[in-house]
Amino acid sequence: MKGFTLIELMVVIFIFSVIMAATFGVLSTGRQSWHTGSTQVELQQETRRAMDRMVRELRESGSTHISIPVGGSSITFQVPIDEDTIDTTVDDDVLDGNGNIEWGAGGSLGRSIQYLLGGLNNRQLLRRVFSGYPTGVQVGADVILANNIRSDSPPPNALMFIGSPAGNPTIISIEVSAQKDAVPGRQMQSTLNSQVTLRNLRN
Amino acid sequence: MFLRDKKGIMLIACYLVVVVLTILGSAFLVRSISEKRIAERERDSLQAFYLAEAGIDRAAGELYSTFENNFTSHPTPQNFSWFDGLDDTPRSENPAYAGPPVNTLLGEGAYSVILPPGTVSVDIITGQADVTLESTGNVNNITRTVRSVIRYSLEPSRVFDYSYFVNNFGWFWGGGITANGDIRSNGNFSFNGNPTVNGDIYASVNPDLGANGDITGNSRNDTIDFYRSQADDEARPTNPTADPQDIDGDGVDEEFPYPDGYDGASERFPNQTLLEMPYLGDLQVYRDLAVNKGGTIKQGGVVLVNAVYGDDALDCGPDGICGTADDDCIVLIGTAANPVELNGPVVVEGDVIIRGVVKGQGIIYSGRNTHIIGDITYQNPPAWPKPDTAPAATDAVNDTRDFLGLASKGNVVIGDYTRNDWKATVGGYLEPPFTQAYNVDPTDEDIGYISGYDEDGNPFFDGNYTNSEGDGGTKDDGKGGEEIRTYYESSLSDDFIKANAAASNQIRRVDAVSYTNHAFAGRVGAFTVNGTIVSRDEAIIYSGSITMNYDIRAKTKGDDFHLPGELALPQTMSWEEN
Repeated sequence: MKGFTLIELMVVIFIFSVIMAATFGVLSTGRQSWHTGSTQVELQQETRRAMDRMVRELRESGSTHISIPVGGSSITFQVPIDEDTIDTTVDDDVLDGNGNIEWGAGGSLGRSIQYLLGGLNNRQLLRRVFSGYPTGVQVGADVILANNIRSDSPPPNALMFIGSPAGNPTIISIEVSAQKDAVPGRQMQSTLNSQVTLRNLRN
Repeated sequence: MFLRDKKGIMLIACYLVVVVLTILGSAFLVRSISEKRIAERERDSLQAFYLAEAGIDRAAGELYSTFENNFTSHPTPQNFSWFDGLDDTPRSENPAYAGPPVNTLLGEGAYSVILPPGTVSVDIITGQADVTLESTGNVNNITRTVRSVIRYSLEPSRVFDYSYFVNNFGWFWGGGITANGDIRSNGNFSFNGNPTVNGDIYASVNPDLGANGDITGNSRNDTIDFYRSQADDEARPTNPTADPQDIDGDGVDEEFPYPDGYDGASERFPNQTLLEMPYLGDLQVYRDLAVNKGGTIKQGGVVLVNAVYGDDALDCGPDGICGTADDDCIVLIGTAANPVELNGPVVVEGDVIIRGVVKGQGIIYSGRNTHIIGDITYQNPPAWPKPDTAPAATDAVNDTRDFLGLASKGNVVIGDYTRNDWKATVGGYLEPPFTQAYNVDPTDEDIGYISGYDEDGNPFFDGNYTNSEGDGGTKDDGKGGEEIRTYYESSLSDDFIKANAAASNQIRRVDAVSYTNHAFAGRVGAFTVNGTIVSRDEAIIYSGSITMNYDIRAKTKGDDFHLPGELALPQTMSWEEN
């Protein structure tokens, strides 16, 4: 039985550390790409969910009940609501006695909805209800539609609304962009675009 | 001891790597699968949404065509009560609503449409039904529901979009004819002598008349500049109403588009589809309308017609003697100092005899003829300056200006028909071959228009307006008795017409939108119509010139003036997603 020489031991340790380094390298890369992937997915889901919500709600609006400020960083609009108190009879639809749409938000006549950036670090996409249209005082608390909206705006805006034609739009283009650090020094970004054709074009 | 077994070290290392890779791989796989599911759900949801929308469109379209077929595209406002029969019943179970199966498979999904209980509202005064449709799209158990209120209603007939509309062959023979507006015939259109048409020309295929919808002969049209300098103020504006110019001083030229204006071209559209005239059948519709809107005709503060004239025993006509031929007829003679004041729709059960100055806005539905026995002029006529750099402001002013509608169940007759020169000229064009036999409404029997029944059992008129009336209708003979009248004569005595009509039939101007299902006939001087002429048969004998200035308000404001209507396409009143 002979022992190992110092040389032998050093060689073994060297080889073993190379192997370990390689193994941890693989592990760390895996962990990084896992983070990247999951961040990407998270951002995508965030923007998609917000976009879906906005598209659904905006679709119910009408040309003369939408206002977009210059630059398009927010949008204020109204949707049809069923306000039976001004009907001659309780009719369970969104038209008043004269056949005009009862415009409002959240079941209340005259209110409006605004999508805007705000909240924590100005990086949250918020849905805010106002007492009037196109301006008024805020009613209730903001609803957060998405977090982690890109911070480097403007320009180009991380949240952008464009109406066409400009005055009384029939189509609204929406862009929303989210951004988050996956691992230190690596930023992930997800940008979604969508278009809504308004359905209540008769005013 | 184990250290001696050196070969195992690589196995452990490989094992480690494999474990790490497996964990990573399976994690990604799980992520991918869930991503795919989310994406699929999103796709299904979108498809369900569009299916739901398709369901609304289909149900709305089928309701429209079923209703249209039931009432042969001339529904009366009362007919809209048909929609009440749809209430409360899911679509598939509703016998009044025969359509394809309730679930139509499209791709992987299906939609179903219901009428939620108690949501149909019908207005049988104006002819309107609001129907709520709720449509659910379903794709792989993902549902989206869309709810929409669809309005079915009457709208002013498109025959009022023209300065001249005739439900027969159109003849513009003579260089003295000028039409400032589009013209249309439900047959061929023939030109001779190079008349002027500052508008488009339409002719329609009409198998009943043996017409291919040809447009033959030469016509001319003015340039925009010439039109602006020459056309009457009452004629429609040009498109654009003025040349582009910088009126607000911002260095950018403004434009003045006006889609209903004269664009400097006279296009020809032969072989068009027939444009059905609305039919003045049962006037009950218009009686209801007149009562509902509180229509009146006044003169000097005296109410001459309160909604309906001829609905009670006191309406004894111009002679004031009840039980005579002129009962239910009315004479309206306005002067500048004492104009006829119109206010909304009214119905006169007999003949309307009218001349002179009128003011206000209204339409007179007559149960028989309308006789224009002299000039009819608006006290405040509409005017469209040419050129015009503020067309919207002009329209707003003109919306308040005078408007007279004359809608006759019988004929519109211009001039003193008792004169021989009238009978010799106009009369010749009021019988075949210039006119032809045509189907009439059963309610026309009361005014003698049923000459017989065709093989399908539908009543028809032989087209000869110079005959004595088929039902033995009479006019006053001026001596306290009665005598037989022809279709173009009024129920008043010839003496009355002679005494009150313009001298020598030199009528020069009529400000009115006129409509008749029968003939528009008359003898006039150098003649201008500021309005429209809509008729089945037309025979106007003019001397020198005839100008038809289209009153565009008949198109843009026809609803407010209660012109005879046709079924409008369904209109989406509201749209929601539940």
